[in-house]
Amino acid sequence: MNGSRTQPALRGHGRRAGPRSGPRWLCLIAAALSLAGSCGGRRKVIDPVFPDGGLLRDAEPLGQPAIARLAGLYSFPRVAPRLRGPVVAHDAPGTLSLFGAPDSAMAILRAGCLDGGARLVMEGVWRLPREATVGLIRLFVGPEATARALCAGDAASLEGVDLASTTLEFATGEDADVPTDALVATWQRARKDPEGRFLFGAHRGACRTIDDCGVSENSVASIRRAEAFGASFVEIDVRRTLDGVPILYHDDTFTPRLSSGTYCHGPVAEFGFAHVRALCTLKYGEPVPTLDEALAAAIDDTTLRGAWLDVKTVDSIEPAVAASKRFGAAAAAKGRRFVVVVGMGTQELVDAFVALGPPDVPCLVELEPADVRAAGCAWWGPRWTRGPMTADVGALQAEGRGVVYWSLDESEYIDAFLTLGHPNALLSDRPGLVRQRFEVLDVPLPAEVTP
Amino acid sequence: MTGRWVVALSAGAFAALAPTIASAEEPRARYALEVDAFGGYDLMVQGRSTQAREIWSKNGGGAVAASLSFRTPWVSPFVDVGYYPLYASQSRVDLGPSIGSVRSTGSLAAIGVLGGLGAEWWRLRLRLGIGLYDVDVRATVLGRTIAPRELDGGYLVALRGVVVRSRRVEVGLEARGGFVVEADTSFVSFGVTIAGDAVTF
Repeated sequence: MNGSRTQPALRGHGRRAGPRSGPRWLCLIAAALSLAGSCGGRRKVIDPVFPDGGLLRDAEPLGQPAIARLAGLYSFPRVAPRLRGPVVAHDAPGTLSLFGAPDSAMAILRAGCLDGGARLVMEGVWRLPREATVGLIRLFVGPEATARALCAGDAASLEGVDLASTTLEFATGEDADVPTDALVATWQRARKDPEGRFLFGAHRGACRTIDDCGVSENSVASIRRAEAFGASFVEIDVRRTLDGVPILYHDDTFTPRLSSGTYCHGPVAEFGFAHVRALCTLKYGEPVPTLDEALAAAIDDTTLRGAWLDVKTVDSIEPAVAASKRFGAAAAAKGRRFVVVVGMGTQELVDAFVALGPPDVPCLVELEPADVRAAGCAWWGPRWTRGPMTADVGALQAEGRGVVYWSLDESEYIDAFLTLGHPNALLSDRPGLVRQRFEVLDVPLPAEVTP
Repeated sequence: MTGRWVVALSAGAFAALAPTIASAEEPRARYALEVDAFGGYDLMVQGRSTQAREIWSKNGGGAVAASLSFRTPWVSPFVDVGYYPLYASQSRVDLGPSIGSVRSTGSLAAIGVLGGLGAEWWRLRLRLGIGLYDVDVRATVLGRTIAPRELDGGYLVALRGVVVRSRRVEVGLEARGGFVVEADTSFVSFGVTIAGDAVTF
């Protein structure tokens, strides 16, 4: 009874795998007796895969410059069944992501060339995060001349691509069904290029566990996927183990909502790091990462512009500051434009930060504008429930500081805060949706913030 | 298999004994402050989750509980305190290339303090309770032992069948189900109960 159980596919949903548990008949008895809960708790959505590797199995991978050339805004001639609204095509290392609205529909695709470059195919998974619904997607880039130019990959060929005639011929399917619902999207315009003047933040690494993105929040895997989810920086939660190792975990207590393990219960601060690694895994099976592992992955494996360390405990301030200095220097040495911002959400954290001396690392305060100034920080991170607070935002921006609202996930609120607040960044569980709204709306760009 | 044997033996004993002693039954007080002791074996049903290779493991163990209830002819409020060992194991876990594979031992138990209402019909009593479970972990990795604990909300359901009943004391068999909400853990217990009227009205 120790083996993992995989439940059959549900129509309209990805494959769902439950955690290890005891005999089913006992589970049913317990559930019936306790009149509460469900056996196995919240289930996980596993991304479907194409049978036999799909068409990409025999395709020549498309180069990153060619993927980037396809980035832009595409429109549909009719209402699309799954990717609604104008779709933003966003390039991330190795992938092209498509972001729709208003239901946060998205797809992450890998690209390859077939038939000697005559055909350009992309395959991947689409999902509706709110409903935890996933399926396969396949698209061909047309016309053939565009495919040939992109597959050739040289600078002259890419420059010669006629984007105005470019089409994305979609087919999407439910769950693991081979895609059949066809649709054609046409090129509308190039993306806006905020060039660091507006940043898209991924809350808790990329995507919260509640959205079932196939990776756990606050994991190295989520950081590696953050760009594909639309982010230009990540927000991660930092707390310390009993023996002083800074790790990524949101709650102060290990909870089955975020992690699993028979003995993975109790306050995080009472676990040594070896105990964390031996007894706990994150929801999708990843190890609980150290802060160093997370920042190393962000710098080495992504092109993200930064990380916001949401420091959870006073004793985590000092290691967070040290990590900010160390990884900021490491990124600079590698020629990476990457900043590690120390974030503080309580007065106790600000006091501990100030007590370390004059701030020589990028920092963010979530409290009042006066606290941001007193701590000498370049960033203010107010919670969205406080409203846009446009006067405060304008005053801070006039001083060369930046404002990032957190954490907005619904398109109507994203629209309101983008158009009323004019922030420098938005933090969201769905950074792809923020990108889509940013592209569609007429949003003025604030000045770039120098941390 | 242990759980199935306990269930089978409990059900068999109740079925065999209940009719034979029914005629010797004496009338009980309509109102009483009843003290109740439970001893049995429990099994963790839900909440076991590990990526490690287990060297040995033990699901459940001896469970004990005591309760105090105010018995009435209709519903009887009660308070119940119980100890439930849930799981114990030794595993081999990989801590990465710098440390390698090490042994890890752990145990998990819950102490429940719950209250609720019970109702009796013929020789059966059903109790539904809500309250708190103190979830206790004890784990040793690399020679260092930790003992974190957390307080979680939970439920208790207990079904008892009376086998022997006198004017003030009764002996029965009981099945319990517990669910610890935040820990996403559930267990079942089977055992014997002895209940007595401390004060009658």
